[in-house]
Amino acid sequence: MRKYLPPLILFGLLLIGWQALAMGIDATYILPSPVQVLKRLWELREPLVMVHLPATMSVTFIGLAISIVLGLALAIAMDASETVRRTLYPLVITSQTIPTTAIAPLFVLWFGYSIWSKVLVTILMTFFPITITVYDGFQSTKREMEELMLSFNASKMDIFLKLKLPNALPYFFSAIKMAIPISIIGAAIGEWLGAQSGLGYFSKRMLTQLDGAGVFAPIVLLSAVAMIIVGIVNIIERIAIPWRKEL
Amino acid sequence: MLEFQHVSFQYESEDFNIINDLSFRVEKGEFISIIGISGCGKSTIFKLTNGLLKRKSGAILLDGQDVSSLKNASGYMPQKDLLFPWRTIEKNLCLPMEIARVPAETQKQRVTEILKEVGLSDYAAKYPKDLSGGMRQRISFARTLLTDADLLMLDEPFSALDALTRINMQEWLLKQWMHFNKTIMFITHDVEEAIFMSKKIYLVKQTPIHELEIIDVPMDYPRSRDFMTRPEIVELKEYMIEQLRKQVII
Repeated sequence: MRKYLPPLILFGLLLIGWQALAMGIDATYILPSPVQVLKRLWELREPLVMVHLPATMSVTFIGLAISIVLGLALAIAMDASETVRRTLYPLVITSQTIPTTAIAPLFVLWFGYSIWSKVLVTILMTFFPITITVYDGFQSTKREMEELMLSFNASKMDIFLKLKLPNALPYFFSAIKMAIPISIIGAAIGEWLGAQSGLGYFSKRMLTQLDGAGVFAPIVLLSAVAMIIVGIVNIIERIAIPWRKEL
Repeated sequence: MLEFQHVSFQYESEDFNIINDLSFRVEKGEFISIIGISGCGKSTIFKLTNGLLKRKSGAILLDGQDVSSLKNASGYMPQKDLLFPWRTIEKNLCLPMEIARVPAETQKQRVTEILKEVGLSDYAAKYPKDLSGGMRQRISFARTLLTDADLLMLDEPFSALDALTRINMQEWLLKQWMHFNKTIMFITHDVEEAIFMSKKIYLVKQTPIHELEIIDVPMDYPRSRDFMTRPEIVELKEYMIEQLRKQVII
């Protein structure tokens, strides 16, 4: 319990500061206080949790799933062949220089208000950290371990399956933990720019109504959901790779 | 058993042959040590033998056949145990057999036998992190045995262990060698270790390695530590230290 104390204190202090600032400004449409946001969250709980959260989560999970498959495929290809790495790397980097908010409206133009425009935004933001982190995981394999495998006459496939893949597992989990919040942000941005449901869309609608607390309420909900999912991944990680610290 | 015939080797990053026209022989069933200062190229000899490095010229023969045409000709035990942390001890031991596509049942049976031999039967389901340094090296040695090679090359396997564990491991290894009847090449930079363990010591006198001075150790097996205080052994130890010190630049 003691280890949670410092973050709790900091979090509490930030909330108090926020509350004091909001009370000082005294204009909910500019800066609502945390208490007002929580109140609004409670009032809006039904549409938020029953309608808009599921919409955002389906974008998040579809986007994340495709990003994981894409990221892993790219990382494996880049690790397997130096030519592939040299060919793909600049493209992967370039994809990250595109300002998402600028290109997202184009996606809406292409895919309409369907889920796929938002999924594409999510993929664009998420596949990069997954690719790079997992690729680093493959590359971090100890040279000596590879030499040991070679001394046993291991094939390239043996080395990949029995050494590189397990060695990259901790990196894979780090990538997932990084990708979850990013994919939620991606989904929310996508919805902000063009959607008919979802927490991003809801937040934007509240903004047009100058409902400051209503803008913050879905954001608080998204943060809480992101923390819960990362927490679950942490638990899975502890069970799946108890040897993580040994690397 | 093993024969180097005029072997030369050069690392790409260097402009000279670190192994230069080297020839030597190791007889079947022997325990020999290669001793030399750090960075002299001892490990290169091993890497050339197991094919991790390709020689520039010359021939390396194992029982009369070129090593590059042989599979699993030699078993290699590295300095660090290099047990895979994600595998149990049992699975770590299976690794060379998995690669050699040995049937799963045979693997299990051989692992059970070898764990009994190295006295760690209770640890089959444990992970490497649950074992002490000495135990891990015993597993690493057992894994080398399971390559089924007759020639075992041990590259400073005890250098990371504390002094007492190291002494115990040296005695343990000698027993294993006599039991399994293998040929062992042992790299070390510890003079006392080399003398206590080997029948012959191959001393690296200069880098690039052009020749190895072969020193017979006048002690029979089984050996005990008391032998180390004999005058001829003390003399041998001093001679070797003197030879090695000449090469050390501080």
